[in-house]
Amino acid sequence: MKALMIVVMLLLSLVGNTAAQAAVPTLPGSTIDCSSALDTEFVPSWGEVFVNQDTYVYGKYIYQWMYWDKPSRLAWFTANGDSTYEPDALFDGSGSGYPEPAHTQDVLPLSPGNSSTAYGYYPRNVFYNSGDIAIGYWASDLPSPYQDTAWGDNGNEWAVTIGTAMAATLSSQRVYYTVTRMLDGGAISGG
Amino acid sequence: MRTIKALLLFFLLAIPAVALAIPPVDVRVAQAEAGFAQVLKNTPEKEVRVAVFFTNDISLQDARMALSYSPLAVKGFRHGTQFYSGGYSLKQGETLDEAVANYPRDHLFFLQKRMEMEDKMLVTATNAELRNAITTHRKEADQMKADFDKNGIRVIGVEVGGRAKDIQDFKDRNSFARVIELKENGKPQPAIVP
Repeated sequence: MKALMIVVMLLLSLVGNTAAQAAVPTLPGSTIDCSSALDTEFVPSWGEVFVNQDTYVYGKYIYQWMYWDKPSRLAWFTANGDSTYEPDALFDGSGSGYPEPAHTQDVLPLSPGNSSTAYGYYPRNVFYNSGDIAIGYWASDLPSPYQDTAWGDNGNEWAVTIGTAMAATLSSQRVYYTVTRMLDGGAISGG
Repeated sequence: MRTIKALLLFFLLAIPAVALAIPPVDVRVAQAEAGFAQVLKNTPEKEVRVAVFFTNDISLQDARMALSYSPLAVKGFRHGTQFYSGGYSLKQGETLDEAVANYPRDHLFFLQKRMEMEDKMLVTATNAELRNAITTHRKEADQMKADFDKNGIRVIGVEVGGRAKDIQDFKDRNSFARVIELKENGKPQPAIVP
């Protein structure tokens, strides 16, 4: 079988600065979506992603590299010292460009090739395997990295995520990386 | 062979802000100790999931040996320093012995893959500042590889499940066990690095 190899260059362009600053949560453990924050204040200026499979059981993995070229691109983290940063990877086999709302909170993540599980995923159901990620190896040099769980996520998100618990300590002019195995969604890209 | 032609990989650079998610280490250690002490006092028989972080790093074999004397269910290992971190979460059906064999295999595999990919990035990077940053990162990988070649995986914590009193017993029997921190759903649990 021809090995799958996809290299996706993320040249993260600036998005319009029209949105308002997101509100800061008031409760410990609460989460907000910062998509409405000024994108130039948290989006890396450069990134690269590499997904592949190997001969081992479970076989698929994803690397992410990211880089902020100047401190101003980290301004949101500086202003929100308790923030985490989670570069989610979502795989979509529908061609729609967005994960389909095909999953509910309590289904088992065993639908190869379906929706956002198409290529690979982390277990979505918090009750599945007692909430364990249980995918094998992971690593990162983000500050205080952790494996994210699906707790609190939308039902259609099967994100693969290594996050940083100390986003305020990210530095500009430095490359960071994450790598993690993920559960196999069954699909290959076909190039 | 199943092919999905329209596989799209896209990244939502979502930045959930978790208020007070990770306090300073000394505060976090104190909170962890208090939280587990309460469980131990009130419900010592209760099955809980925890991470046990160490006072110093130990070899994977030593960690495996220490765990072999306890009734705890091993869920994963943590490794790392102040500069990088990671771990290995046991897959469903994977035995502890298999995990102990697979962990260093994967660590080396992924380290070598990282070095290979960053070498390619250096060929294509045109921005001088970015190129310098990649070069620095690549050298750090060299150091990680040297550390691994010399010392293997150095474990700084384990994730286990079991009765609270058995987890406390594991800590009491192993002087390298620094703090027990309960695993809470939805709460990031980065390693407490020695």
